[in-house]
Amino acid sequence: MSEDDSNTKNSSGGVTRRDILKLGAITAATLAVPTVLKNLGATSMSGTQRERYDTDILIIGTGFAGIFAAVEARKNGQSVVMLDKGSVGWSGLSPWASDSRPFDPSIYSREEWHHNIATNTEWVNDRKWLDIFMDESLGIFDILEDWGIHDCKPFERSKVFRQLLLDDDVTLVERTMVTSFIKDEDGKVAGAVGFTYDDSQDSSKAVVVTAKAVIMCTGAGAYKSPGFPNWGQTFDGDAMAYEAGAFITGKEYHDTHPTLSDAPAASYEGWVWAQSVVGAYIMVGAPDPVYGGLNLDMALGVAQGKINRDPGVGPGGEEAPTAGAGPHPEVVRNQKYRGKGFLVTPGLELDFGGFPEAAAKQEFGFRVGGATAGMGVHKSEGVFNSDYTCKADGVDGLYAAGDALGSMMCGSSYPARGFSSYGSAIQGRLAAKYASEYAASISSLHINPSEIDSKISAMWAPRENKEGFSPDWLTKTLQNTMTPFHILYIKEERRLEGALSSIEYLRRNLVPNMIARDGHELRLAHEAANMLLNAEMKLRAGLFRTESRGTHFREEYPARNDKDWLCWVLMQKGADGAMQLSKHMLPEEWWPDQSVPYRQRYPRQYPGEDEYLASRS
Amino acid sequence: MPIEKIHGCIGCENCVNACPTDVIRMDPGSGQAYIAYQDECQICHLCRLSCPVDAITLTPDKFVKPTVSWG
Repeated sequence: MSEDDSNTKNSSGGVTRRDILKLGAITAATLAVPTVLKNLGATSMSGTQRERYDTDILIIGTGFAGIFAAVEARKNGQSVVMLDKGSVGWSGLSPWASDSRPFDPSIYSREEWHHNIATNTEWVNDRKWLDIFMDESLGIFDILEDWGIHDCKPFERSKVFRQLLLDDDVTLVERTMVTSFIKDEDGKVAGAVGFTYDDSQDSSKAVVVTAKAVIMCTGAGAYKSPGFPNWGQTFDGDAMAYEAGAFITGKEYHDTHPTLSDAPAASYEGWVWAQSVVGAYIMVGAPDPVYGGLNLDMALGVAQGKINRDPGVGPGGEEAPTAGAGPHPEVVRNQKYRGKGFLVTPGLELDFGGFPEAAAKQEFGFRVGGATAGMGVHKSEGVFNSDYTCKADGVDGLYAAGDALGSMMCGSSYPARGFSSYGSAIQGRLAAKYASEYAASISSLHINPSEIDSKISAMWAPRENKEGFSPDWLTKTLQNTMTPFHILYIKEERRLEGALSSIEYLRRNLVPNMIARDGHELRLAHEAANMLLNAEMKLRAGLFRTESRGTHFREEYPARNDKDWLCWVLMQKGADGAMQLSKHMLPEEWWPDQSVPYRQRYPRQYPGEDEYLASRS
Repeated sequence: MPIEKIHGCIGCENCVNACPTDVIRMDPGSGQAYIAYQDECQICHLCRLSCPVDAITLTPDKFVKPTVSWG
């Protein structure tokens, strides 16, 4: 034994250096997934009570899409069960619905809307969905008027919606987190499993719903980012649909709401700001081809000048209005719907209260980006459907509507206020029409009991794990990885690959080791897993699209590439479990006229774009 | 702190149902709502707006627990 070895032995309390090296290797392997936290509430869930429902149609989500879907399905004679993580009218973004933009053909030009929205959303919006919106939006206005929704005081819509559903014999199962779809023996979606998370009085129960058809009205999602009321939305529908084999689209694009630097988490203050804008109800005028909407410079907030809205020339060569020059002529064209809407109704004064100190200060600092980090464009991310039936491409029995449907109606950036809640209502009704036809064609369901058992078993896993990682920690790690602007909004290959490597590690090694000590944490655990799946989708879609378009900006490709990328990016889980990406090309009749000069096709300008284009010409 | 206190609750449960993030629960003993998971409050004010007796107080500031390496 050498002196060195002897010293090592002494300093290591009887262990040789060779032993240390050996131990090091073992320790490294053990530490690959170190589980540190003990689950103080770990318990066996095997005997947990199950609540069982059988129905024709299961609707998940009770916002605008779900409510309209339920009413339509009942009209078609289908029995309906609705599941919701929150409760009717309160969950998701529906309680915040403030604007609507019904298309009135007696006032507006259909061609003008098509042209302006295509330009604003950079030619990847689905024109047929926009046609459907223009055909049906006025009807939605009339229905809401008939239901008395326009006469509700702010935030009292939920009572009206609830009574409407109960009067229609809809079964409501609320405050229930849905975790997985059930499939029948033919591989078709035939229900869902979930759990009641409120265990303050009774223990959590498993909820099992078998159904001939399922309509996902689960809304969008974000990474629990500050300043926007979307913490309840964590891409739950997308995640379940992806696992069931559906195609998902729209993940490379962003919603870009800003928040306030001095109180970035105060969602409500941001929304008071939004609601204080004149016209925060029925919107008037055609969406602007260049201005308005939620473009990338909204995300950057104070970084004006970095991404230009070219003030010179509009897409048709016309003079665009300059900032501060008063309302666009479109905006003052129609007064017909003034005074009708969700938040402001005749004779009702707005009284939101708020923070007295905020009123005294007038403001909460600067506008900063990232209030909706992770959220896609309303109506443009989610389950993909190619035939306007709202059925999920890739799997039968599953339909989607609203922000859960990747209809691409709004293309690569939200073009203007007023499309979201009416779009959800229209799609919910349509999804129910086709889901009803499908359900009526099914005489009986054949579901293997082991299918339900295995889904429930996976659902309870974080409650049973004795040690591991907290969902709070995973969520924070996800936020720190994905939220910074140089990953989320200003993309570059190596940075995206770096973030992807981290997200993949979290999904592979830590998600299976999450712990939950109660029903509340179990909900957080599933939400964290769903957000992490979305993060992988967002990074992969961002890497895949090697151009810039709308809210998708790649530093090394700072221009649009019509030849290769007038398409939607689709994602599906492959047979090997890996994420598969593909292009769905747009019909050529929707392409912008290639003889029109580039800057007129694309009035908005990315940093470095001119130099990049010059270098390639 | 986001949601700060509930004072004068009449037990209607409106706030429990309105909260999108399960911050508020009902205390079976007192029959009143209480703040169960303050960390999850997103300061959206739906609880306050749904409360018939204006019992809920919120502030615009949010406390976030520090992140550690393993947790």
